[in-house]
Amino acid sequence: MTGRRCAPPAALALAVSAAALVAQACGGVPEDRTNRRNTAPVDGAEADTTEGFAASDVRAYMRQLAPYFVSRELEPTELAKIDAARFAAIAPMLETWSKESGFPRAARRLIAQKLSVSGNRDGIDFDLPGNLAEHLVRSNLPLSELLTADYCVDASGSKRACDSGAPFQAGVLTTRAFMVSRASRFNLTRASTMLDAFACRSYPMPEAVEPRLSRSRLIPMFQVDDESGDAGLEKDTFGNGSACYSCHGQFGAHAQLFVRFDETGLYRADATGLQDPNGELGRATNGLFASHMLSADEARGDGSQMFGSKVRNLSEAAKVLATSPSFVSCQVTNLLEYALRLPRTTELAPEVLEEISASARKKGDPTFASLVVETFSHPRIVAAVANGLRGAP
Amino acid sequence: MAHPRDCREPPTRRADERTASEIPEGAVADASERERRSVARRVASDLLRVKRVRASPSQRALLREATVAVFLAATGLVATGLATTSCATNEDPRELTASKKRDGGPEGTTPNGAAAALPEGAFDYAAGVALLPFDVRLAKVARVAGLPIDDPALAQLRARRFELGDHDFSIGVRPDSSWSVSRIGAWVKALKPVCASPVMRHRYPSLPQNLDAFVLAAYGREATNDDRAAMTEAVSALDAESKHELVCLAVLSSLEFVSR
Repeated sequence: MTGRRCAPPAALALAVSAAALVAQACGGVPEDRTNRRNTAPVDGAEADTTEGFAASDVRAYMRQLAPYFVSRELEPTELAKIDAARFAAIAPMLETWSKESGFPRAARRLIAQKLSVSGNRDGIDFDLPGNLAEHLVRSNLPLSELLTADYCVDASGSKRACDSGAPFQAGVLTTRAFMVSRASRFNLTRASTMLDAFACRSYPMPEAVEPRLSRSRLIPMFQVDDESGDAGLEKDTFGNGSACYSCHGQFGAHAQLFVRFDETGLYRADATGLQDPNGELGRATNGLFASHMLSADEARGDGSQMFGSKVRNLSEAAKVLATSPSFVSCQVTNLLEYALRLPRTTELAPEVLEEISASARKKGDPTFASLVVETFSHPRIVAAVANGLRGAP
Repeated sequence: MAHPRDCREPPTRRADERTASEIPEGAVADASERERRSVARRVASDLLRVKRVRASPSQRALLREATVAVFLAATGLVATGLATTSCATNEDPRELTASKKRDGGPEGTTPNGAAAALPEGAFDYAAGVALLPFDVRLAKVARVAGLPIDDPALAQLRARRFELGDHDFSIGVRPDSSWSVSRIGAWVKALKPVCASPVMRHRYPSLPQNLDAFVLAAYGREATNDDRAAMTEAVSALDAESKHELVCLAVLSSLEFVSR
């Protein structure tokens, strides 16, 4: 903290709300209140940024959140608590909300929107991911079980077998709902959705996060890029340009995890991963999708790598993903997008995400409830939102 | 209405508003300048829209009047003449905050012909006002009215869920958070059984006399003098039954209730 006064005037509204979240040097605390403290450290200690929140700020803030988390507005008793305790009322109130019957639906809503899954069609239950999300919240189970649960949950909330027929399970990832809604050539959409929803990453990623597969393991079209000449390969401008390897060197690893799931979401042990010679590029035969891998053995296998770790199948990959540092911070990001309607392009201050994630981890593997409490009681989040909502009725 | 408003009046930029280009340096971390500006514009675009609905009393009044006009059309009360001084019923209230000149002038100009100083991309109203998810709105209506979610009074709302913005991804229906005139009309019509339900009548026996309790339940805040004045004026010429219905519909269809 430098103490630089870059906290915005109130009028900048929500545009600055987001800015306040990302302003590294400032706490995002409104500057137009004379009783508000600067967030600059005083004698090496962090100043308390929370005392300056007016009751009206906190009211506006909690009014923003209430419909999204408990499907209702604030109650008179809650308004009184806010008026009495201001910022200090936030965390206990969120804790209380997390025990309300409407709270688990927020998790369902979030995951359904994130993965675009709901409803029923052709005998496929597209609500299974939402059911699992809601079950995890009702049972106060870690949110990471979205990826690691070895069971599915029916509409009544009871555990049931999952529906893909795979000999392994990976939470929502091994539901037919996910597989069907994200079916595409080379399994690119399944892979990219998995990374986006649960790691908030996209291709290409830094090599340190996901080392690229060696060129020689990939089919020729994915080997090429600007540097391919250095490897003795003919330079090519196939597809989207000249940098195929840059992304597909990583895509290939993740897409391989889905190569045995056909377009109806069923697991097919007899999948080959080989391009259908008479089919569209990226498609294998029998409703399956082609692998990135050159060798027939590699192309048909379940095994691959996730964030540099060798994995035997999607289940193991999901465990790596669920325990990666990016999982929790990504879920914080998802919560902010969900409840504040922040655009996906909003850049959030890494240290804020880290602080929230660290707080949530203190009590073990974070639950949806603990993430909600830690995220929305963080002073910089509150300040950023309250700044923007000032002037609301 | 006591204070007819010229709906063609273009919105003015509040003195305390800024364009994306005025967002402080350093506001967006770790991005190239171009990306930073782009992000800032997108953020401003999305968030200023929300602010314009929420923050400006005059714009809120405009939206309220436009919404009332739609209620009147939807409820058949237009014959009372209340709508004659409000915005046209076929006018999308979202457009009341748009920057385009509404008297035939070119877009992006003020009545004086001066270029509107608005953030680039800030007035793409495709996403405009964002409705709360349908199931949240349904739950809120049920709670305010004191009805279980499966009560017959809510049947029309449930039956028209897709028309009202709900989703079913399995059949390709995505959530639709837009608040169009047709959706307002459908929402209002579906609300009528709720407003007429005995439970609702018991909870709020007389509106707008019981407006304070109704607003507290519907908005999660105390009613203001502006709320009371606006509502009282809007329904002053109506009989008691119509007053009750119109106030109920107006509050449960207001942006403050259906959106965040």
